[in-house]
Amino acid sequence: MGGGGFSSFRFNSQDFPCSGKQINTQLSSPNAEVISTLSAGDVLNIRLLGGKSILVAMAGTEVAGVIVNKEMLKIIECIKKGFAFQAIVRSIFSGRCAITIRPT
Amino acid sequence: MCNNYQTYIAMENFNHLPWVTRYTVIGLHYYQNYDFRFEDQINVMVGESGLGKTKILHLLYLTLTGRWMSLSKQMFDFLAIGFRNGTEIGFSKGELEFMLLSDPEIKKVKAQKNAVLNKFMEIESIILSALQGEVIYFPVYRDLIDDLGLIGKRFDQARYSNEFSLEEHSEYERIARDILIPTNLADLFVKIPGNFQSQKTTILISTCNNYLTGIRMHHDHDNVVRLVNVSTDETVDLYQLSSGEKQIVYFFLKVFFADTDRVYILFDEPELSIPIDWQRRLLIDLRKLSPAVFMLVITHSPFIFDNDLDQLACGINKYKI
Repeated sequence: MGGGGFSSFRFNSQDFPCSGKQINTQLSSPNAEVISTLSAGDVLNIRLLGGKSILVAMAGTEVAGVIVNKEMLKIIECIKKGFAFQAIVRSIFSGRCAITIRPT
Repeated sequence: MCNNYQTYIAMENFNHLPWVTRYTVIGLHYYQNYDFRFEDQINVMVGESGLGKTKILHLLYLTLTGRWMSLSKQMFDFLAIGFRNGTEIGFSKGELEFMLLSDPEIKKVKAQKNAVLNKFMEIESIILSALQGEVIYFPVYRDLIDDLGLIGKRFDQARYSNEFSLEEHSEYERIARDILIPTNLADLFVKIPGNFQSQKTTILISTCNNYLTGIRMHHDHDNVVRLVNVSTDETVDLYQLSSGEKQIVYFFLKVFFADTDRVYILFDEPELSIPIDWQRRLLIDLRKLSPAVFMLVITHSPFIFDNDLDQLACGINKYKI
C-alpha cells in the first residue's frame, strides 16, 4: 500500500438542520439476531443509549446496531434538543444493514 | 473463474492463484451490490454501460492503496476484500467518514473514535501484509501529455495559492505517484537502475518494439532506454508517437518500474486508443513483464480477451447480488 495515512476533514455544523435532512448511512456492530428479522422498508427508532453519546438504532426494544458516521455528533445534539429521528432500512446483505436516517 | 481454466493453467505452469480472492461492494451508488470471487490471476470483466464497472475498479484501487479521503467521497455502503492469505477487511462508509472526522466536539465520543481509528489501522496493516506488492491503476482518463502537464501545473498552483489543503495535496501526490511513471516521459529518456534485472529490460524492449512502427526502443550501453527513429537513428520524443503508441509505452514502463515483482494491475478499458491487433496482445504481454501479476480488467472490447484469456472473461452481471 502506498501509505494512506489518516487525513481528516471538518464537519460544518452550520450546514446541519435538525429537521428536514436525510442521511444515508450504515449500522455498525450489527446485532445479527435482530438484523436477521429485518427487511428493506422496516423502520427503526434512533436513540441515545442510556443518555450517553452512543447513537443506536432500535428495532422495538432491541438494539439493531450502532450508528457511527460523520454526522452523528450533530444528530446527538439534535436529539438532546428534543428532535426525534428514525431510520428506514434500505438494504440488508450478509448481516450488513444500510439505513436512511430522517427526522420524524 | 467463468469457465474451465485448467488448460490455461497447465500451459502457463505458474502459480495461478489470485492475491485478491474476494471483493464485495454493497450499496454502490446506494442501490447496486456486487460480490466478486476471484479464482484466477487475471480477471476480465465485461458489461454494458451503467453497471458501475469503472466505479467498482476505482473503489478497489482507493481501498488497496488506503486513499481514505478520496474513498470517503464515493457513494457506497459497505466494502469488503478477502486476500489469498485468508485475511479479510470490511468497513462501512459511515465508519470511514467518522474515522476522518475532525471536530472539536469529537472528544464527546472519544471511545468510538478510537475504536474506529484502531479498526482502520488494522485494515491498513492487513492490506500491507496481504499484498506485499505494488498497485498500479490505469484509469480510463490517461491523456498522458496533458495529464503530466496538468498535474505539474496544478501542483505548482496549489503550492503557491493554498488551493489545496495539506490533506488534499498529499492525497493528490499519492494518486499521481501511482498513475505516473518515474521518468521524464516528454523526453522518453529512461535511465534503468543498475539493480534492474537485465532479463526484465530485455522483455521490455522486445515487447515495446513489437508494437512500434518506424520507431525502435533502444537500450544504450550506458543503460539508458530511448526511442529512436529507425530511418534516421535520431531520438524520438513523445509528441512523435501516435496516441496508441504512447499508451503502450506508458503501460509497459509503468509495470516495468514497479518496485516489486508482485504487481496488482487495475485496468479500466485498456482498449482505448489502441488498434484491435494490439488489444489482442496487450494483457498477455503485460503478464510476461510481471508474471506474478494480479490483474482486474474492465473492458467493452471483445478483442482484449480474444486470446488465451478468452475463458477468463466474465459478464459483470454474474457477480451482482
